Amino acid sequence: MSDSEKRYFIKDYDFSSFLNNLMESENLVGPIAKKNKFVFGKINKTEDLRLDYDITILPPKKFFFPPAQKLIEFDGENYRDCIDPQKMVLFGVHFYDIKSLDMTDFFFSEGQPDNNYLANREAATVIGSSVQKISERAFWGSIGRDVKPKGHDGFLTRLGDTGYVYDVTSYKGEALLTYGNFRNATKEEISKAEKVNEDIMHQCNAQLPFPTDKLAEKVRAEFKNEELWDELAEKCFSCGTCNTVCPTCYCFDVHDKWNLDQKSGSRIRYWDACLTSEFAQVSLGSGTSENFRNTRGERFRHRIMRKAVYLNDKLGGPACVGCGRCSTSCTADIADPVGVYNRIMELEKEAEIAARKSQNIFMPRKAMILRAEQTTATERHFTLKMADGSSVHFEPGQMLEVSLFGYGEIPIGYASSPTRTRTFDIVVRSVGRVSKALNKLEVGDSMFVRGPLGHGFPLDKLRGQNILIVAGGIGLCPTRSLIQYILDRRDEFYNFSLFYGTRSPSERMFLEDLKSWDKSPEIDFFETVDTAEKSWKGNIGVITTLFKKKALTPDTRVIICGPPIMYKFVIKELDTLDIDHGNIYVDLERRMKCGIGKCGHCQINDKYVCKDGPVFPFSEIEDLEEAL
Amino acid sequence: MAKPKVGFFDFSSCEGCQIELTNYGDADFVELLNHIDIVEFREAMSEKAEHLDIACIEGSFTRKEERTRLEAIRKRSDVVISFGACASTGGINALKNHQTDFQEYVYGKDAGAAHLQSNAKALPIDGAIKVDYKVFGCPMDKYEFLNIISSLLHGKTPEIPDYPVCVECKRNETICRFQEGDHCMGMVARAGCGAPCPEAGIPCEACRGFISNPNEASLVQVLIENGMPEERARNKSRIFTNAMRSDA
Repeated sequence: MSDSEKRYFIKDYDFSSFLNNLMESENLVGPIAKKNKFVFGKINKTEDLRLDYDITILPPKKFFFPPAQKLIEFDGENYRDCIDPQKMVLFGVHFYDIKSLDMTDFFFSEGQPDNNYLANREAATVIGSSVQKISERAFWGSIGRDVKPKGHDGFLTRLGDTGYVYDVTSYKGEALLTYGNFRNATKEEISKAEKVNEDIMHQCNAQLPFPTDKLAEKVRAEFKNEELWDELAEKCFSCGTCNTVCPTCYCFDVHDKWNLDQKSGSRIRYWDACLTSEFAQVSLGSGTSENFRNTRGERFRHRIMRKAVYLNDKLGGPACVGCGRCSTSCTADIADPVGVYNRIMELEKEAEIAARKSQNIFMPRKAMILRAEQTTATERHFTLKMADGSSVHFEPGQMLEVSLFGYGEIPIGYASSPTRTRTFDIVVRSVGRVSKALNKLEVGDSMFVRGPLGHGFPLDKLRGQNILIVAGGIGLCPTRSLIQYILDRRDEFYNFSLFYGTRSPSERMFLEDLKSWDKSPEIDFFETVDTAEKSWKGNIGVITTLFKKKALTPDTRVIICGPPIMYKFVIKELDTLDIDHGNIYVDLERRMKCGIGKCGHCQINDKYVCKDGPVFPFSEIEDLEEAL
Repeated sequence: MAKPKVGFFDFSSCEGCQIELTNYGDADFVELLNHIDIVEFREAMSEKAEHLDIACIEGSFTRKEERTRLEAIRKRSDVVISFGACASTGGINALKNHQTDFQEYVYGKDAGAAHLQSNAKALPIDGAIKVDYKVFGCPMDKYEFLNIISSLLHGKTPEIPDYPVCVECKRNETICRFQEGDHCMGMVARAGCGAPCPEAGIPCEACRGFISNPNEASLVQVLIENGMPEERARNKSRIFTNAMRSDA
């Protein structure tokens, strides 16, 4: 509290005469009992005033923004406004309700000032009083503590049975001094009063689980978590009680009503509640309608977002003062913001645990086999989809680790294009323990995959260029991913040629593809086999013999993938064409285990084939010992 | 504009909603008559009209022959208003919809008498004919009726609340029945009455029926959590909502 405020003291003994004088001269309103609860109401005798109240059913905004407020009265062609402020002294307002009034002051002042509220507000003198009893569900000790109460005219702090310290914060508050036997407060009394108001801040039963400044961020992060909001709102009646009792809710609806004479009437605003199903519903005519917040979860979310997130920038904190009225009033007991924020914290903890689990870099995911086809004596072609239905994202040339528990893991390149995101293909050659076990799987079985891993073909450097792919044997599998990609986005590439060589016709893979590429005008496809029976009508000879068949420009980007021996001879050919080594990409094979650059098996000099490759620009590795 | 011709009709009901019309007080009732022309009203007159601008129908549709009568009223009326709980939601009469022995239970040895036979289910009027507007409540709220009539006089679609009674209790600062150890239907009951019952210490029985999307599962759960045996919780206050339940 600043020194400019004036502080006075009134003895308990003098307090009732002060009230009596106030009652006689002013319209005095304050907390009064209603059965075993409290409401703000007219004080007719001093005993009516219950400064020992814990909380009132409705907040004091009802005096300035009544549940039903006439805005305009009309009579035929004539109409007039209904602004008619009544002077009042609103006495005994707890600090959290003062904060809420300051917020509604702001809402009704911003933009076009709404004098239907502001005039009532201006006509009132608001006198706060210290909390003597804490409402069971209040959590004002831990929300918006940086937002200080202001906008009131005076504040009374009870010092036990001795009396009250009275802080005057405006001329309206000062004017009340004449009604009572006030004297200046002593330093000791002032510091006692400060201690009373500070101590009570630590005594709420309910506490927010994290600091208010983190609130907006954490709550907003869950916006799209529909499951969460549906869960939180499962028991919600859409009854709007939480809105109706909230001191910072200020939404309203406007209705016109005719009087019985059918000539005159009024335009009235009523408190509205965003939790009710009608709030965001518009008529589309002929009995149909559209609801912009159709589910309980959406409506529940909207309230929490408004309180914790949307209005924070304007208010410097959440649009919640921690009064706990919503918690107390909700019949299904789901409205309590503390419960909601606690649940969000739990989610964060769950997410942390899940993240730590998923941080196990060796965790694979399950994939289902949609198609399994034995394409050669040793190779089996699988089409897979992720068991959880998620789509797959990778680059052509990247790999994944494929595994079966009890057998092990092996690295395999994607054999289909990432332009087809629902499924992906791999080809497994039966050579070792894992691949043999994998190749016994049938449609409907599942395997486990981990990836994508490594770096694939540099698509950004290939777009708009002449492309040649040179694939030998099983090297067609990873390059098929790129071939499909180019054919799916043919416009993005210029001339496109493919050389494919196998040792014999029986080792040729993807026969359907080969047939369609052979016919396709989109691709210049040339094929050869090293040796063949007489029945083979195609080329015979090593793959380099195909270079005679196609004229290539020096700017061609070349991708090579095949058995190690092939690279040396192919690159020799490319050198004769003056193709820059930076424009040649080689897809290397090594013994790999982990696939993530840890285990050391695939290391060449300082490079890991699994992590830095398997695709490298030739210029990057040609000088490395052991590379080729 | 000429005063609209209004008729009142009663079906299976206590006729209490029509009686409620006479509770406006003399001055107000006379003022109302300045704006509408009541041309049929069995409670007060014996004349009949050929054409009606507005037909207000009280009572539920529970006997076979009532369909013919309802269709005849619909045919000669521009606007049909279901008038009160029985006409709008089936009301108390729909309590029999889940019973098979109601005939014996009510009429004892006369149960078989021809003039006491009725359909297995009591339905709201829109179970037989198209209804344009509904005035809810047992009895109907006379001020809401005035609002509806006023709207129709001015060619405006009447505004009928579709939020629950809790809203009105909170506006009134009524202490919640649950907080007083009682049970209440306010969370699922259609508002518009101003919630006088809870303010008088009487739980809401949802005489205006359910709101459009009542959370019935939560209703049962909340009643159980507040100490009600499950069987009772499932059947609490069917008196006015039986025909609106998901198991109806």
